[in-house]
Amino acid sequence: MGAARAGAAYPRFHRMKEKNRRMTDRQTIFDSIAAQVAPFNKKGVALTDATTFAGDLEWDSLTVMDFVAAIEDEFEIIITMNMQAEIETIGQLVDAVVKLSAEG
Amino acid sequence: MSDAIDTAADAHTPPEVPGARDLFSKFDGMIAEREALLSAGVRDPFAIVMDEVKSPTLAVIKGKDTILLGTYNYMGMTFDPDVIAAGKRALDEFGAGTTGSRVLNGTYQGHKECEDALKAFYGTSSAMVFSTGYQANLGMISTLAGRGDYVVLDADSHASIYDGCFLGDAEIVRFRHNSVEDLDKRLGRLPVDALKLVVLEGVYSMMGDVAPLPAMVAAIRKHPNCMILVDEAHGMGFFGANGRGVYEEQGVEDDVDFIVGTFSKSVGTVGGFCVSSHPKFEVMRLACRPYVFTASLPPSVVATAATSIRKLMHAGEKRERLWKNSRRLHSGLRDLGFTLGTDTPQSAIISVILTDQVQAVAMWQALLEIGLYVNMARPPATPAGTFLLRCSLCAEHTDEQVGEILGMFERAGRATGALA
Repeated sequence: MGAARAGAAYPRFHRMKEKNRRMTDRQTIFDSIAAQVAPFNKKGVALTDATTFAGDLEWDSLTVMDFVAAIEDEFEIIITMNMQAEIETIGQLVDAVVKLSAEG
Repeated sequence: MSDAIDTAADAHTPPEVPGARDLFSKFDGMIAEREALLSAGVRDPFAIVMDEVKSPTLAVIKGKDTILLGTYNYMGMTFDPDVIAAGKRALDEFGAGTTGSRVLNGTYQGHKECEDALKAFYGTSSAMVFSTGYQANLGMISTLAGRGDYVVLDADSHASIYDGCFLGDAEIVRFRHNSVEDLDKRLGRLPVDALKLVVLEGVYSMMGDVAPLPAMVAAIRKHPNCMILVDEAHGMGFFGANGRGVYEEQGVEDDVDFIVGTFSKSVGTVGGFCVSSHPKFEVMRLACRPYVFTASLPPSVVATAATSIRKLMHAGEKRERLWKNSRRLHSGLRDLGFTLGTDTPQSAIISVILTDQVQAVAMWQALLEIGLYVNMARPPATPAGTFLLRCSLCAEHTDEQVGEILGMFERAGRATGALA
Protein backbone atom coordinates (compact mmCIF):
# COMPACT_ATOMS: atom_id res chain seq x y z
CA MET A 1 0.00 0.00 0.00
CA GLY A 2 2.78 2.39 1.01
CA ALA A 3 4.63 1.88 -2.25
CA ALA A 4 1.50 2.22 -4.32
CA ARG A 5 0.63 5.50 -2.60
CA ALA A 6 4.15 6.90 -3.16
CA GLY A 7 4.00 5.92 -6.80
CA ALA A 8 0.63 7.64 -7.24
CA ALA A 9 1.69 10.85 -5.54
CA TYR A 10 3.10 12.64 -8.52
CA PRO A 11 0.24 12.00 -10.98
CA ARG A 12 -2.29 13.04 -8.34
CA PHE A 13 -0.43 16.28 -7.64
CA HIS A 14 -0.21 16.86 -11.36
CA ARG A 15 -3.95 16.32 -11.74
CA MET A 16 -4.68 18.86 -9.00
CA LYS A 17 -2.51 21.48 -10.67
CA GLU A 18 -4.11 20.69 -13.96
CA LYS A 19 -7.53 21.11 -12.40
CA ASN A 20 -6.64 24.44 -10.80
CA ARG A 21 -5.35 25.75 -14.07
CA ARG A 22 -8.43 24.55 -15.90
CA MET A 23 -10.80 26.12 -13.37
CA THR A 24 -9.36 29.61 -13.71
CA ASP A 25 -8.94 29.80 -17.47
CA ARG A 26 -11.91 31.73 -18.86
CA GLN A 27 -11.69 30.34 -22.38
CA THR A 28 -11.47 26.78 -21.09
CA ILE A 29 -14.51 27.38 -18.92
CA PHE A 30 -16.36 28.89 -21.88
CA ASP A 31 -15.53 25.83 -23.97
CA SER A 32 -16.60 23.49 -21.24
CA ILE A 33 -19.93 25.29 -20.78
CA ALA A 34 -20.43 25.35 -24.55
CA ALA A 35 -19.94 21.58 -24.59
CA GLN A 36 -22.61 21.24 -21.87
CA VAL A 37 -24.98 23.49 -23.84
CA ALA A 38 -24.62 21.44 -27.04
CA PRO A 39 -27.08 18.63 -26.24
CA PHE A 40 -29.76 21.22 -25.39
CA ASN A 41 -28.95 23.52 -28.36
CA LYS A 42 -31.66 22.16 -30.62
CA LYS A 43 -31.59 25.06 -33.08
CA GLY A 44 -27.80 25.00 -33.42
CA VAL A 45 -27.41 28.61 -32.24
CA ALA A 46 -23.82 29.88 -32.49
CA LEU A 47 -22.64 30.41 -28.91
CA THR A 48 -21.04 33.68 -27.81
CA ASP A 49 -20.83 35.53 -24.51
CA ALA A 50 -24.01 37.37 -25.53
CA THR A 51 -26.13 34.27 -26.21
CA THR A 52 -29.17 34.29 -23.89
CA PHE A 53 -30.62 31.10 -22.38
CA ALA A 54 -34.28 32.12 -22.47
CA GLY A 55 -34.24 34.21 -25.67
CA ASP A 56 -31.68 32.69 -28.06
CA LEU A 57 -31.64 29.10 -26.84
CA GLU A 58 -35.38 29.18 -25.99
CA TRP A 59 -34.87 27.08 -22.86
CA ASP A 60 -37.74 26.56 -20.46
CA SER A 61 -37.25 26.57 -16.70
CA LEU A 62 -36.87 22.77 -16.55
CA THR A 63 -34.05 22.77 -19.09
CA VAL A 64 -32.31 25.57 -17.22
CA MET A 65 -32.61 23.58 -13.99
CA ASP A 66 -31.04 20.43 -15.49
CA PHE A 67 -28.32 22.48 -17.11
CA VAL A 68 -27.41 24.38 -13.94
CA ALA A 69 -27.15 21.12 -12.01
CA ALA A 70 -24.80 19.72 -14.67
CA ILE A 71 -22.62 22.84 -14.56
CA GLU A 72 -22.52 22.74 -10.74
CA ASP A 73 -21.30 19.15 -10.81
CA GLU A 74 -18.80 19.76 -13.63
CA PHE A 75 -17.06 22.54 -11.67
CA GLU A 76 -17.93 21.34 -8.13
CA ILE A 77 -19.56 24.65 -7.26
CA ILE A 78 -22.98 25.90 -6.11
CA ILE A 79 -24.85 28.39 -8.26
CA THR A 80 -27.63 29.47 -5.89
CA MET A 81 -31.06 30.28 -7.30
CA ASN A 82 -30.41 33.87 -6.20
CA MET A 83 -27.36 33.95 -8.50
CA GLN A 84 -29.21 32.13 -11.29
CA ALA A 85 -31.79 34.93 -11.35
CA GLU A 86 -29.01 37.34 -12.39
CA ILE A 87 -27.55 35.09 -15.10
CA GLU A 88 -29.17 35.57 -18.51
CA THR A 89 -26.27 35.04 -20.94
CA ILE A 90 -23.51 32.50 -21.45
CA GLY A 91 -20.92 35.22 -20.73
CA GLN A 92 -22.52 35.95 -17.35
CA LEU A 93 -22.51 32.23 -16.54
CA VAL A 94 -18.84 31.90 -17.53
CA ASP A 95 -17.94 34.87 -15.31
CA ALA A 96 -19.92 33.38 -12.42
CA VAL A 97 -18.17 30.01 -12.81
CA VAL A 98 -14.73 31.71 -12.99
CA LYS A 99 -15.50 33.59 -9.76
CA LEU A 100 -17.02 30.61 -7.91
CA SER A 101 -14.20 28.27 -8.96
CA ALA A 102 -11.62 30.74 -7.67
CA GLU A 103 -13.46 30.95 -4.33
CA GLY A 104 -13.75 27.18 -4.04
CA MET B 1 -57.97 67.93 -16.86
CA SER B 2 -55.86 67.48 -19.97
CA ASP B 3 -53.48 65.39 -17.85
CA ALA B 4 -56.33 63.12 -16.91
CA ILE B 5 -57.29 62.65 -20.56
CA ASP B 6 -53.67 61.81 -21.46
CA THR B 7 -53.51 59.26 -18.68
CA ALA B 8 -56.80 57.69 -19.72
CA ALA B 9 -55.59 57.42 -23.32
CA ASP B 10 -52.36 55.77 -22.17
CA ALA B 11 -54.21 53.32 -19.98
CA HIS B 12 -56.57 52.33 -22.77
CA THR B 13 -54.37 52.34 -25.83
CA PRO B 14 -56.61 51.51 -28.82
CA PRO B 15 -55.99 48.03 -30.23
CA GLU B 16 -55.06 49.46 -33.67
CA VAL B 17 -51.84 50.94 -32.25
CA PRO B 18 -49.10 48.62 -33.52
CA GLY B 19 -46.99 46.84 -30.91
CA ALA B 20 -49.03 48.23 -28.02
CA ARG B 21 -48.01 46.67 -24.73
CA ASP B 22 -49.26 46.82 -21.17
CA LEU B 23 -48.68 44.80 -18.00
CA PHE B 24 -50.81 41.95 -19.34
CA SER B 25 -48.67 41.46 -22.45
CA LYS B 26 -46.49 38.94 -20.63
CA PHE B 27 -49.52 36.64 -20.40
CA ASP B 28 -50.22 36.61 -24.15
CA GLY B 29 -48.64 33.18 -24.54
CA MET B 30 -50.77 31.76 -21.74
CA ILE B 31 -53.95 33.31 -23.19
CA ALA B 32 -53.17 31.98 -26.67
CA GLU B 33 -52.49 28.47 -25.37
CA ARG B 34 -55.75 28.42 -23.44
CA GLU B 35 -57.73 29.72 -26.42
CA ALA B 36 -56.19 27.10 -28.70
CA LEU B 37 -57.13 24.40 -26.20
CA LEU B 38 -60.73 25.57 -25.83
CA SER B 39 -61.19 26.14 -29.58
CA ALA B 40 -60.43 22.43 -30.03
CA GLY B 41 -63.83 21.94 -28.37
CA VAL B 42 -62.72 20.65 -24.97
CA ARG B 43 -63.98 21.74 -21.58
CA ASP B 44 -61.69 23.95 -19.55
CA PRO B 45 -59.83 21.63 -17.14
CA PHE B 46 -59.20 24.54 -14.80
CA ALA B 47 -62.77 25.83 -14.54
CA ILE B 48 -64.78 22.94 -13.11
CA VAL B 49 -67.74 23.83 -10.88
CA MET B 50 -69.14 21.35 -8.39
CA ASP B 51 -72.83 22.24 -8.24
CA GLU B 52 -73.58 19.82 -5.46
CA VAL B 53 -71.32 17.69 -3.24
CA LYS B 54 -73.09 14.57 -2.05
CA SER B 55 -70.25 12.89 -0.14
CA PRO B 56 -66.44 12.88 0.04
CA THR B 57 -66.44 10.76 -3.13
CA LEU B 58 -69.41 12.04 -5.14
CA ALA B 59 -70.38 15.43 -6.62
CA VAL B 60 -72.71 16.76 -9.28
CA ILE B 61 -70.94 18.48 -12.19
CA LYS B 62 -73.12 19.88 -14.99
CA GLY B 63 -76.04 17.79 -13.79
CA LYS B 64 -74.07 14.53 -13.76
CA ASP B 65 -73.18 12.42 -10.75
CA THR B 66 -69.39 12.33 -10.79
CA ILE B 67 -67.02 10.18 -8.74
CA LEU B 68 -64.32 12.35 -7.17
CA LEU B 69 -60.82 10.97 -7.67
CA GLY B 70 -58.80 14.15 -7.40
CA THR B 71 -59.63 15.95 -4.16
CA TYR B 72 -56.89 14.92 -1.64
CA ASN B 73 -59.77 14.22 0.72
CA TYR B 74 -57.81 11.12 1.75
CA MET B 75 -59.62 10.25 4.95
CA GLY B 76 -63.09 11.42 3.88
CA MET B 77 -63.50 13.68 6.93
CA THR B 78 -65.42 16.46 5.12
CA PHE B 79 -68.82 14.95 5.94
CA ASP B 80 -67.96 13.31 9.26
CA PRO B 81 -70.98 13.95 11.54
CA ASP B 82 -68.87 14.86 14.61
CA VAL B 83 -66.76 17.25 12.54
CA ILE B 84 -69.81 18.97 11.09
CA ALA B 85 -71.50 19.22 14.52
CA ALA B 86 -68.39 20.85 16.00
CA GLY B 87 -68.30 23.40 13.19
CA LYS B 88 -71.99 24.28 13.57
CA ARG B 89 -71.62 24.69 17.32
CA ALA B 90 -68.63 27.01 16.91
CA LEU B 91 -70.46 29.02 14.26
CA ASP B 92 -73.36 29.54 16.68
CA GLU B 93 -71.21 30.29 19.72
CA PHE B 94 -68.29 32.25 18.26
CA GLY B 95 -69.65 33.74 15.02
CA ALA B 96 -68.68 33.60 11.36
CA GLY B 97 -65.14 34.98 11.60
CA THR B 98 -62.52 36.48 13.88
CA THR B 99 -61.79 39.60 11.80
CA GLY B 100 -58.29 39.66 13.22
CA SER B 101 -54.71 38.45 13.33
CA ARG B 102 -53.70 35.57 15.58
CA VAL B 103 -51.48 37.99 17.54
CA LEU B 104 -54.22 40.61 18.08
CA ASN B 105 -57.92 39.79 18.39
CA GLY B 106 -57.90 36.62 16.25
CA THR B 107 -57.00 33.88 18.75
CA TYR B 108 -60.10 32.25 20.26
CA GLN B 109 -60.43 29.25 22.53
CA GLY B 110 -60.94 27.17 19.36
CA HIS B 111 -57.54 28.12 17.93
CA LYS B 112 -55.87 26.99 21.14
CA GLU B 113 -57.89 23.75 21.13
CA CYS B 114 -56.83 23.14 17.56
CA GLU B 115 -53.17 23.66 18.46
CA ASP B 116 -53.62 21.35 21.48
CA ALA B 117 -55.05 18.68 19.16
CA LEU B 118 -52.01 19.04 16.88
CA LYS B 119 -49.59 18.75 19.81
CA ALA B 120 -51.38 15.58 20.94
CA PHE B 121 -51.39 14.18 17.40
CA TYR B 122 -47.70 14.86 16.75
CA GLY B 123 -46.32 14.56 20.29
CA THR B 124 -44.57 17.93 20.06
CA SER B 125 -44.30 20.76 22.57
CA SER B 126 -45.44 23.45 20.12
CA ALA B 127 -47.98 23.83 17.34
CA MET B 128 -48.75 26.93 15.32
CA VAL B 129 -51.88 27.18 13.15
CA PHE B 130 -51.73 29.27 9.97
CA SER B 131 -54.65 30.32 7.77
CA THR B 132 -53.57 28.02 4.91
CA GLY B 133 -50.97 25.34 4.27
CA TYR B 134 -49.44 27.61 1.66
CA GLN B 135 -48.91 30.29 4.30
CA ALA B 136 -47.41 27.75 6.71
CA ASN B 137 -44.59 26.99 4.26
CA LEU B 138 -44.33 30.60 3.19
CA GLY B 139 -44.00 31.73 6.80
CA MET B 140 -41.78 29.02 8.21
CA ILE B 141 -39.19 28.99 5.44
CA SER B 142 -38.96 32.76 4.95
CA THR B 143 -38.70 33.39 8.69
CA LEU B 144 -36.36 30.56 9.73
CA ALA B 145 -33.74 31.19 7.05
CA GLY B 146 -32.49 34.78 6.93
CA ARG B 147 -29.73 36.69 5.19
CA GLY B 148 -26.53 34.64 4.98
CA ASP B 149 -28.38 31.38 5.74
CA TYR B 150 -29.12 28.67 3.17
CA VAL B 151 -32.32 26.88 2.23
CA VAL B 152 -31.63 23.55 0.52
CA LEU B 153 -34.65 22.16 -1.27
CA ASP B 154 -35.68 19.32 -3.58
CA ALA B 155 -36.13 20.43 -7.20
CA ASP B 156 -39.68 19.02 -7.25
CA SER B 157 -40.78 20.96 -4.16
CA HIS B 158 -44.31 22.38 -3.98
CA ALA B 159 -44.84 25.99 -5.10
CA SER B 160 -45.42 27.09 -1.48
CA ILE B 161 -41.87 25.94 -0.60
CA TYR B 162 -40.36 27.82 -3.54
CA ASP B 163 -42.41 30.90 -2.68
CA GLY B 164 -41.24 30.70 0.94
CA CYS B 165 -37.69 30.80 -0.40
CA PHE B 166 -38.40 33.78 -2.63
CA LEU B 167 -40.10 35.70 0.19
CA GLY B 168 -37.06 35.32 2.47
CA ASP B 169 -33.50 36.63 2.23
CA ALA B 170 -31.61 33.33 2.36
CA GLU B 171 -29.49 31.75 -0.37
CA ILE B 172 -31.45 29.05 -2.20
CA VAL B 173 -29.84 25.79 -3.29
CA ARG B 174 -31.69 23.10 -5.17
CA PHE B 175 -30.86 19.38 -5.47
CA ARG B 176 -32.15 16.78 -7.93
CA HIS B 177 -35.43 15.21 -6.88
CA ASN B 178 -35.06 12.60 -4.13
CA SER B 179 -31.32 12.24 -4.86
CA VAL B 180 -29.44 11.55 -1.64
CA GLU B 181 -26.10 11.83 -3.45
CA ASP B 182 -26.99 15.19 -4.99
CA LEU B 183 -28.16 16.56 -1.62
CA ASP B 184 -24.97 15.34 0.08
CA LYS B 185 -22.74 16.87 -2.61
CA ARG B 186 -24.45 20.25 -2.46
CA LEU B 187 -24.38 20.44 1.33
CA GLY B 188 -20.67 19.62 1.13
CA ARG B 189 -20.05 22.64 -1.11
CA LEU B 190 -21.71 25.13 1.27
CA PRO B 191 -19.75 27.14 3.84
CA VAL B 192 -19.32 24.98 6.96
CA ASP B 193 -20.26 27.80 9.34
CA ALA B 194 -23.41 28.86 7.48
CA LEU B 195 -26.77 27.85 9.00
CA LYS B 196 -28.86 25.66 6.72
CA LEU B 197 -32.52 24.65 6.50
CA VAL B 198 -33.12 21.50 4.46
CA VAL B 199 -36.71 21.27 3.21
CA LEU B 200 -38.11 17.87 2.23
CA GLU B 201 -41.55 16.47 1.53
CA GLY B 202 -42.82 13.10 2.75
CA VAL B 203 -44.94 12.52 -0.36
CA TYR B 204 -44.33 14.46 -3.57
CA SER B 205 -47.76 15.29 -4.90
CA MET B 206 -47.18 15.18 -8.64
CA MET B 207 -46.01 11.58 -8.99
CA GLY B 208 -47.10 10.37 -5.57
CA ASP B 209 -43.62 9.12 -4.75
CA VAL B 210 -42.18 9.04 -1.24
CA ALA B 211 -38.86 10.53 -0.09
CA PRO B 212 -36.09 8.19 1.14
CA LEU B 213 -35.95 10.08 4.43
CA PRO B 214 -33.58 7.84 6.47
CA ALA B 215 -30.89 8.04 3.76
CA MET B 216 -31.46 11.77 3.36
CA VAL B 217 -31.27 12.39 7.10
CA ALA B 218 -28.03 10.38 7.26
CA ALA B 219 -26.56 12.47 4.43
CA ILE B 220 -27.65 15.72 6.08
CA ARG B 221 -26.17 14.71 9.44
CA LYS B 222 -22.72 14.45 7.82
CA HIS B 223 -22.78 18.24 7.49
CA PRO B 224 -22.85 20.75 10.34
CA ASN B 225 -25.45 23.41 11.14
CA CYS B 226 -28.42 21.83 9.38
CA MET B 227 -32.04 21.87 10.53
CA ILE B 228 -34.65 19.73 8.77
CA LEU B 229 -38.22 20.66 7.84
CA VAL B 230 -40.51 18.01 6.35
CA ASP B 231 -43.78 18.92 4.62
CA GLU B 232 -46.25 16.12 5.35
CA ALA B 233 -49.23 17.64 3.50
CA HIS B 234 -49.87 14.39 1.59
CA GLY B 235 -48.78 11.99 4.31
CA MET B 236 -50.78 13.05 7.37
CA GLY B 237 -53.41 10.61 8.53
CA PHE B 238 -52.28 7.35 6.99
CA PHE B 239 -48.47 6.92 7.20
CA GLY B 240 -46.91 5.72 10.46
CA ALA B 241 -48.34 4.11 13.59
CA ASN B 242 -49.96 7.39 14.68
CA GLY B 243 -50.70 8.66 11.19
CA ARG B 244 -48.17 11.48 11.53
CA GLY B 245 -46.65 11.00 8.12
CA VAL B 246 -43.87 9.42 6.11
CA TYR B 247 -41.24 10.64 8.58
CA GLU B 248 -42.94 8.57 11.31
CA GLU B 249 -43.35 5.50 9.12
CA GLN B 250 -39.67 5.65 8.14
CA GLY B 251 -38.54 6.14 11.74
CA VAL B 252 -36.78 9.52 11.54
CA GLU B 253 -38.94 11.39 14.07
CA ASP B 254 -35.99 12.32 16.28
CA ASP B 255 -34.10 13.88 13.39
CA VAL B 256 -36.78 16.20 12.04
CA ASP B 257 -36.94 19.70 13.52
CA PHE B 258 -40.15 20.96 11.93
CA ILE B 259 -43.21 19.34 10.39
CA VAL B 260 -45.42 21.48 8.17
CA GLY B 261 -48.89 20.30 7.23
CA THR B 262 -52.32 21.30 6.06
CA PHE B 263 -55.95 20.91 7.09
CA SER B 264 -57.08 20.86 3.46
CA LYS B 265 -56.29 17.22 2.75
CA SER B 266 -56.76 14.43 5.33
CA VAL B 267 -58.19 16.82 7.96
CA GLY B 268 -60.91 17.85 5.50
CA THR B 269 -61.18 21.62 5.95
CA VAL B 270 -58.72 24.47 5.33
CA GLY B 271 -55.71 25.82 7.22
CA GLY B 272 -52.05 25.03 7.76
CA PHE B 273 -49.70 24.34 10.61
CA CYS B 274 -46.17 23.79 11.81
CA VAL B 275 -45.31 21.57 14.79
CA SER B 276 -41.95 21.41 16.56
CA SER B 277 -40.37 20.69 19.91
CA HIS B 278 -37.71 23.37 19.58
CA PRO B 279 -37.54 25.27 22.90
CA LYS B 280 -37.62 28.66 21.19
CA PHE B 281 -40.33 27.81 18.67
CA GLU B 282 -42.99 30.12 20.14
CA VAL B 283 -41.03 33.20 19.03
CA MET B 284 -42.19 32.40 15.50
CA ARG B 285 -45.60 33.80 16.44
CA LEU B 286 -44.01 37.24 16.68
CA ALA B 287 -41.49 37.02 13.85
CA CYS B 288 -43.42 35.23 11.13
CA ARG B 289 -45.13 37.72 8.81
CA PRO B 290 -47.51 35.32 6.99
CA TYR B 291 -48.77 34.39 10.50
CA VAL B 292 -49.03 37.93 11.86
CA PHE B 293 -50.32 39.94 8.91
CA THR B 294 -53.42 37.98 7.99
CA ALA B 295 -56.75 37.16 9.61
CA SER B 296 -56.97 33.93 11.58
CA LEU B 297 -59.18 31.00 10.58
CA PRO B 298 -62.92 31.27 11.36
CA PRO B 299 -64.04 29.57 14.61
CA SER B 300 -66.04 26.95 12.70
CA VAL B 301 -62.96 25.94 10.71
CA VAL B 302 -60.66 25.45 13.71
CA ALA B 303 -63.44 23.55 15.51
CA THR B 304 -63.86 21.16 12.57
CA ALA B 305 -60.07 20.79 12.27
CA ALA B 306 -59.58 20.03 15.98
CA THR B 307 -62.37 17.43 15.96
CA SER B 308 -61.09 15.83 12.77
CA ILE B 309 -57.46 15.68 14.01
CA ARG B 310 -58.50 13.95 17.25
CA LYS B 311 -60.58 11.43 15.28
CA LEU B 312 -57.65 10.79 12.92
CA MET B 313 -55.64 9.58 15.93
CA HIS B 314 -57.88 6.52 15.99
CA ALA B 315 -58.63 6.01 12.31
CA GLY B 316 -56.94 2.65 11.76
CA GLU B 317 -59.86 1.26 9.79
CA LYS B 318 -59.96 4.21 7.40
CA ARG B 319 -56.19 3.93 6.86
CA GLU B 320 -56.60 0.28 5.91
CA ARG B 321 -59.33 1.07 3.41
CA LEU B 322 -57.34 3.94 1.88
CA TRP B 323 -54.28 1.76 1.36
CA LYS B 324 -56.41 -1.07 0.00
CA ASN B 325 -58.00 1.32 -2.51
CA SER B 326 -54.64 2.77 -3.52
CA ARG B 327 -53.09 -0.66 -4.08
CA ARG B 328 -56.07 -1.86 -6.11
CA LEU B 329 -56.22 1.24 -8.34
CA HIS B 330 -52.46 1.14 -8.94
CA SER B 331 -52.38 -2.50 -9.98
CA GLY B 332 -55.62 -2.15 -11.96
CA LEU B 333 -54.37 0.83 -14.00
CA ARG B 334 -51.01 -0.81 -14.55
CA ASP B 335 -52.68 -4.01 -15.76
CA LEU B 336 -54.79 -1.97 -18.20
CA GLY B 337 -51.53 -0.73 -19.70
CA PHE B 338 -51.25 2.81 -18.39
CA THR B 339 -47.87 4.30 -17.54
CA LEU B 340 -47.86 5.34 -13.87
CA GLY B 341 -45.71 7.77 -11.90
CA THR B 342 -44.44 5.06 -9.55
CA ASP B 343 -43.74 1.35 -10.02
CA THR B 344 -45.47 0.52 -6.75
CA PRO B 345 -48.34 2.24 -4.88
CA GLN B 346 -46.27 4.45 -2.58
CA SER B 347 -49.00 6.84 -1.38
CA ALA B 348 -52.67 7.69 -1.99
CA ILE B 349 -51.74 9.59 -5.16
CA ILE B 350 -51.51 7.64 -8.39
CA SER B 351 -50.40 9.56 -11.48
CA VAL B 352 -51.15 8.42 -15.00
CA ILE B 353 -48.49 9.73 -17.38
CA LEU B 354 -49.74 10.69 -20.84
CA THR B 355 -47.80 11.64 -23.94
CA ASP B 356 -48.80 15.28 -24.44
CA GLN B 357 -51.33 17.99 -23.67
CA VAL B 358 -53.77 16.91 -26.40
CA GLN B 359 -53.92 13.33 -25.13
CA ALA B 360 -54.07 14.42 -21.50
CA VAL B 361 -56.97 16.82 -22.08
CA ALA B 362 -58.81 14.32 -24.29
CA MET B 363 -58.48 11.65 -21.64
CA TRP B 364 -59.43 14.03 -18.85
CA GLN B 365 -62.55 15.14 -20.71
CA ALA B 366 -63.54 11.60 -21.68
CA LEU B 367 -63.38 10.59 -18.01
CA LEU B 368 -65.43 13.60 -16.96
CA GLU B 369 -68.10 12.90 -19.57
CA ILE B 370 -68.61 9.40 -18.19
CA GLY B 371 -68.62 10.61 -14.58
CA LEU B 372 -65.10 10.64 -13.14
CA TYR B 373 -63.17 13.68 -11.96
CA VAL B 374 -59.37 13.55 -11.78
CA ASN B 375 -56.78 16.37 -11.69
CA MET B 376 -55.00 17.32 -14.87
CA ALA B 377 -51.45 18.58 -14.33
CA ARG B 378 -48.96 19.89 -16.84
CA PRO B 379 -45.63 21.70 -16.98
CA PRO B 380 -44.27 23.70 -15.27
CA ALA B 381 -46.05 22.21 -12.24
CA THR B 382 -45.03 18.67 -13.25
CA PRO B 383 -41.54 17.12 -13.25
CA ALA B 384 -39.65 16.58 -16.50
CA GLY B 385 -42.27 18.25 -18.69
CA THR B 386 -44.82 15.47 -18.21
CA PHE B 387 -48.60 15.64 -18.69
CA LEU B 388 -50.40 13.85 -15.90
CA LEU B 389 -53.81 12.76 -14.75
CA ARG B 390 -53.45 12.68 -10.99
CA CYS B 391 -55.74 10.41 -9.04
CA SER B 392 -56.02 10.72 -5.29
CA LEU B 393 -57.94 8.09 -3.39
CA CYS B 394 -60.25 8.40 -0.43
CA ALA B 395 -60.83 5.96 2.41
CA GLU B 396 -64.54 6.32 1.61
CA HIS B 397 -64.26 5.08 -1.98
CA THR B 398 -66.18 1.80 -1.96
CA ASP B 399 -64.97 -1.36 -3.64
CA GLU B 400 -67.72 -0.83 -6.23
CA GLN B 401 -66.51 2.69 -6.95
CA VAL B 402 -62.91 1.56 -7.43
CA GLY B 403 -64.21 -1.08 -9.85
CA GLU B 404 -66.24 1.58 -11.70
CA ILE B 405 -63.20 3.87 -11.82
CA LEU B 406 -61.09 1.18 -13.47
CA GLY B 407 -63.87 0.50 -15.99
CA MET B 408 -64.06 4.21 -16.81
CA PHE B 409 -60.30 4.45 -17.33
CA GLU B 410 -60.46 1.49 -19.69
CA ARG B 411 -63.31 3.02 -21.74
CA ALA B 412 -61.75 6.51 -21.87
CA GLY B 413 -58.34 5.05 -22.69
CA ARG B 414 -59.69 3.09 -25.64
CA ALA B 415 -61.86 5.99 -26.86
CA THR B 416 -58.98 8.46 -26.87
CA GLY B 417 -56.25 6.13 -28.06
CA ALA B 418 -54.33 6.46 -24.80
CA LEU B 419 -54.70 2.68 -24.55
CA ALA B 420 -53.89 0.59 -27.59
